[in-house]
Amino acid sequence: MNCRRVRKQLPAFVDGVLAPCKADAIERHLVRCAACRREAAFLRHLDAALSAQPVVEPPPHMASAIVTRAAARAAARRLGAPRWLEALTFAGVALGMAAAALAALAIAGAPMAWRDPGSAGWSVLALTTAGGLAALGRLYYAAGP
Amino acid sequence: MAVPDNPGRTDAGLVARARKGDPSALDEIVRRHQTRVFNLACRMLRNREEAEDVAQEAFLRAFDALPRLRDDASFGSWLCRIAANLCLARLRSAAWRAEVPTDPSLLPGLEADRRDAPTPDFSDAVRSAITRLPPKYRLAVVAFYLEGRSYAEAARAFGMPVRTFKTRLYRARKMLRDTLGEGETAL
Repeated sequence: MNCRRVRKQLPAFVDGVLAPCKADAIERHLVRCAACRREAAFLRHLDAALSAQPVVEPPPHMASAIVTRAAARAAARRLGAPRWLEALTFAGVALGMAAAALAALAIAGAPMAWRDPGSAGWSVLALTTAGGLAALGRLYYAAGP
Repeated sequence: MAVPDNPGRTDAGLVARARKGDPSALDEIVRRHQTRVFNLACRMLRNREEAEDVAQEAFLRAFDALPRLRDDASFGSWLCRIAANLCLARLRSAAWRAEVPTDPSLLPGLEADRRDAPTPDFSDAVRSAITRLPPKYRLAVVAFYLEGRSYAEAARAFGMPVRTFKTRLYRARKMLRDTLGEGETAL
């Protein structure tokens, strides 16, 4: 067996899936060929480096997040709702509560800002507007393309 | 993976129950397959947050498409293919390559307890070289080591003929070889 044929079969040899007769022929070749021996050693080291990858545990919240999102999508499909409404179902409670709080702040801050332009009312209005825009952005992101 | 004896708890049984809207079946499917899908995405994308995003999307797409799944028993490999395609799409996106950093903790570890265990320098070089493989060749390497170093299992899980898979793995190793150079100094 020449070097060219050996090099082609070395990965299968290192993976241990070569037929015994072919594996024997390669072993005999490796005894007398230093270049192919180095190639085999390289493949074994590569194999060892790649085999050593540890299993990474998924984040603890991932499974429940998937099931919650799947249930929301299924509920939206049953209602025949579009995707944005399905995302709203998923994020709806939190966003609804945030929107209610922002609306309350805006209602409280607007008269104050109108009476006294230098008062904290403008800050409250600016913050509520920014919060509202952030909530809308989050909703758009949740809805996806 | 051991197949449970109870027919309702096999992949096929769970998929049939999930199709009828049983939420406990969805939950069990996710818990059974999440580690494999998450690890596939981690190894492909080398970024934990992106991997979680892809894993979630893969499950959701699979659940959405359950009515179209023809062989319920093949759910696991079908899910892997969906996740792999999502990873490939992200890797091919120029914007993704430019923006998403690699998480070093997700690169191949150095825990090999073998006589021919690689040196730290060589393992570092392998980590770097893998991230430079074209996506479909990276998938071949990831699939092979994720599926227990079996050509047939990896090819089936990722929906390609064994011959195609072997060719891609062979070329991937050759590219790694070329990238890593002669390597004798590192060995």
